[in-house]
Amino acid sequence: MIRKKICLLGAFSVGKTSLVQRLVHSIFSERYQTTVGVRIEKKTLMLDGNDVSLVIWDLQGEDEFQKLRESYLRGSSGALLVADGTRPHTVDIAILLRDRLRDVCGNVPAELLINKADLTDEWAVDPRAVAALDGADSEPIVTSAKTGAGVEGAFESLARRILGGGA
Amino acid sequence: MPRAAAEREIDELRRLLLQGERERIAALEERKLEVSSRDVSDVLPEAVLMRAADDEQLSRALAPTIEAGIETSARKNPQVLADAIFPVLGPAIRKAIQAALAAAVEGVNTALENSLSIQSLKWRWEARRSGRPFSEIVLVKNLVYRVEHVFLFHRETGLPLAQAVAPAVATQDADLVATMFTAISNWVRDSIHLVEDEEDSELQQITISGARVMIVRGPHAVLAGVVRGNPPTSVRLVMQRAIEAVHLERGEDLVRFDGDDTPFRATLPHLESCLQEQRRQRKRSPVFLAVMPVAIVVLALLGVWWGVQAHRRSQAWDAALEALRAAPGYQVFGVREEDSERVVSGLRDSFAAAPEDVLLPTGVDPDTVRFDFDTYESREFLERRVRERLAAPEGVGVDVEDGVVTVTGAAPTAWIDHADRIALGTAGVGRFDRSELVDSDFARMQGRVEALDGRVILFAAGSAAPTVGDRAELEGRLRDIDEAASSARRIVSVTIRGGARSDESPDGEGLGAERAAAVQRFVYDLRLESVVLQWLSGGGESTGRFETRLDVRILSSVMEAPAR
Repeated sequence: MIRKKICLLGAFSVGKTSLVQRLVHSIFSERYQTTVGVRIEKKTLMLDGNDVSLVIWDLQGEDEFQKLRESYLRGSSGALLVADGTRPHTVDIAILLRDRLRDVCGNVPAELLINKADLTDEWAVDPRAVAALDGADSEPIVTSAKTGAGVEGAFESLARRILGGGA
Repeated sequence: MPRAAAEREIDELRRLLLQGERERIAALEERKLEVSSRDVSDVLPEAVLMRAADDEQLSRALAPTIEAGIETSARKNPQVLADAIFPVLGPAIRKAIQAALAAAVEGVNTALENSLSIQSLKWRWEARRSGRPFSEIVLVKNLVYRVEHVFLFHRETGLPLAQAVAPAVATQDADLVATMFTAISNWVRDSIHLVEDEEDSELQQITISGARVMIVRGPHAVLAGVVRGNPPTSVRLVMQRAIEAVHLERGEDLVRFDGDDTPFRATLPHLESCLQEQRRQRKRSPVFLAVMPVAIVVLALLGVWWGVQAHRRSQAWDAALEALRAAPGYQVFGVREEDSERVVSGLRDSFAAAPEDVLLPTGVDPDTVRFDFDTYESREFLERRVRERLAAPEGVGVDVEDGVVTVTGAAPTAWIDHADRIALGTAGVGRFDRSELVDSDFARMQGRVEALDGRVILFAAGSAAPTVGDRAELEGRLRDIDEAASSARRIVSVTIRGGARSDESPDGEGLGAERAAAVQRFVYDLRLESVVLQWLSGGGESTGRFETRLDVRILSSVMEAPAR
């Protein structure tokens, strides 16, 4: 079986752990739990008749106090960069993290996720504007860990790009 | 020179120079396909070897064809395939069975050793106190160490490459475990910079209560072993050798690793070599070692004693049965066990000795035996039975021989009647001989009858009344006869003939009849039970004597006494 390591990167409280919980266990909790260090989960996807096992490193949120451990990024075949649609500066952090990822892992596929689609009323981020940001290699994917919208699609899209790119 | 002529000459020159080569080329072109196949067959083995050494493309390309070929062969004629793999089938099955048996025996051994001992009770207490499963306590106490789980994972990505598990250990999700190891290692390395050299600051061991994870690293892969107990340093060396062997054999695959763990299945033997264990040697205490031989001897003696006792009991029982069979008046049919009790069934004569008395001398406790005997009359006790039943009076001799009962001597009639019934009513008696037995009542009666027979009663001349003396005597004699006849169960008849002298009565017959009637009345008035007046005659005999004569006769020897 093909196994791939992917990382979930993003500012704190953007919903990285919730996305993984939604994907792996199909659950969502309103309760906020800060991830300390890293959480490991596994999800097997069926792509074009082949099983692909994604070993997901859910890294703790990035802020000025908690800096990303680069050693966690090593060996990643791709990453999901998660931003919060209600907090514009999380998009900036996601872009920064993408650069850090490229420093460590080279030009591996990365998907930008604008999470919390269930709160679009409060959104302060325009996905189309984000797409125009410098260096974006694909359209951002709008997701909601709460409703599950776009979650599986985001992981699948990343997996396809990883396998397609022969990383 | 014209152009056409020049070309002809050049053609001629070409023909002269290249004719041989042209023919060879034409010939070669004709044989093109044939040569190609032959050439391929020449180089094919070498080409296969070279390509197989380079990479696995050839194996992958051939795999579907070979699989399809095997499938076709199996479907067409399974026997061919069965014959081909037969030599490897046996060893493979034996190996699998041995492994399964070894695991089962190990479990049983441990369970037996620890099921019911003071030690196990202690451990059960410890398990209850600590809230850990008993099996875990047994394992920990029995093992010095055991490598339960070995993971090989890719150093950079933390993705698992292969894993090996000891028998009877639950498998873990290798993906998560291996990745967590990596994450923890990374965290340790990033967080705790104890040494400048990065290699030395790598996490080498994780210790948890009662278990540890030992980690050895190669340039591209990491080997982690989950160990229970206290492993010696040799375990780390074995793991080191294993990771080196993996790098030696699969170095290129490690460098090119893209998430596919297929090439690393071949590393399993190296991982399995790390699944080592050592069990605690149970030391027997000196007291135990000293007591053991004594205990064995005592047990052996007890066994011998028990065996001898059992043999004796068996012999005694045989003797008891034999004694019962031999005892007079017993017929033993069988012995059966009923509610752990022996039941002896058969027939027993009421004159036979009590079964308890028969068994007692043989040493068998009669209380342990139940007797189920029906009554019967055995020939052995015939004489005794006959004697007892006859209850012969004094003066009677009884002899029993070959079913013939002979009685001698003298006995009353009543007893003789009783003996007739008893003797012939007893099983085993064929004949009752009493020809030599005298009926004492009959003899007495006969004597008295004979004494009275012909008695003459005298009358005063002309008188029809007997004298007082005659009356008294006659009454006494008749009463004696009546008593004897009653005992002898006979009837005695008395005939009275009355007579008179001619000078007494002109018709002597009338007085004679009167006299006979007077005697008859007298006898009648005695109310005798066994004496009857048979005949009364008035006519005197022509003897010329004037008298009245009594003729007394016993009427029948078989007549029963009249009802009283």
